[in-house]
Amino acid sequence: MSADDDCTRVREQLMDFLKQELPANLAADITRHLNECPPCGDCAEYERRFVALLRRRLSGDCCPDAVRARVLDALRDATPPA
Amino acid sequence: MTAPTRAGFDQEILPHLDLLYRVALRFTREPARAEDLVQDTMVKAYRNWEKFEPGTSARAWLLAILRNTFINAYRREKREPIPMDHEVLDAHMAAHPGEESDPEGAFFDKIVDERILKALDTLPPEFREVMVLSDVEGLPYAEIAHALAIPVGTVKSRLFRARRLMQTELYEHALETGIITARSGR
Repeated sequence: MSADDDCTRVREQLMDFLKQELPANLAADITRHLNECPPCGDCAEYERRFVALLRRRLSGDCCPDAVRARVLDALRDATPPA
Repeated sequence: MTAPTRAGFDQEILPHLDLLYRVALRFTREPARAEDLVQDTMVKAYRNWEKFEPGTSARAWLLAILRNTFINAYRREKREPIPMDHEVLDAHMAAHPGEESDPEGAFFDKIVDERILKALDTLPPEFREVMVLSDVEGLPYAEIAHALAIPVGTVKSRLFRARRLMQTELYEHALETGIITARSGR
C-alpha cells in the first residue's frame, strides 16, 4: 500500500478515531501514522481543536434553578407511571 | 424486574437535566421555548417511565423523547429538507478550511463564544442536532442514532458535513475580522 493510500484511509477513519470508536488495533495503526505523517498529524490536531472548542465553550450551561423547580413541580402533579 | 417508581425515575433521569436543558436550548434557540420543552419532555418521560428498558441508555431515551416533543409541538418553522449543495459537498470538503494558512486550527481559540454559538445555531437543524449531541455533549454514535432515530451511518455523514460547514463559517469569520490572514501569492 502506498503512502497516499495510507493517508486516504487515515483521513476516512479520523473522525471515528478521534471519537474513540475504533477497535484498538485500528486505532494503533492510525496513531502510528499520525506520528509519522505531519500533514495527517496537522489534520488530526485541527479536528481535535475544533471539537475541544465546542466542548469547552458550549457544554457549561446548567439547567437554571427556577426551571429545575418548575420541572419538579410538574412531575409532582403528573400522573405517576402505571 | 422491579416496577418502575418515582425514585427510580429520579435516580436515572434527573442527573441528565443539565444536558437536557442545554440540548433543548440549542434545538429551540430560545430560552423560553427551551424551558417549556424541558418540562414537557420530563413529564412525558415520567408518564412513559415503564417503557424504559433498564440497562439501556437513559439519556438517549430521554433525548429521543425531547426530539419527538420538539418536532411535534414546538417547531413552528417547517423543517426544510437538506439543501442539495449540503449533500454533495464532499469533494470540496476533503480539505480543512484554512489548511494552508493555519493547518492546526490555532485560530479556533481566538473566536468569541457568541460567534461560535451563532455558527452552530445557523446550521441546518439536521446537522445542528448531530453536532450538539456529538461534539458539544460527547455522546457516542450509537446513542445519537438512538436519540435521533437515524442509522449510525447517517449520524457519521451528517457529523462530517456539519463540522466542515461550521469550520468554513468560523474560518471565514476569522479572515473577515483579521484573526488570521490568508496566505497570499505563492
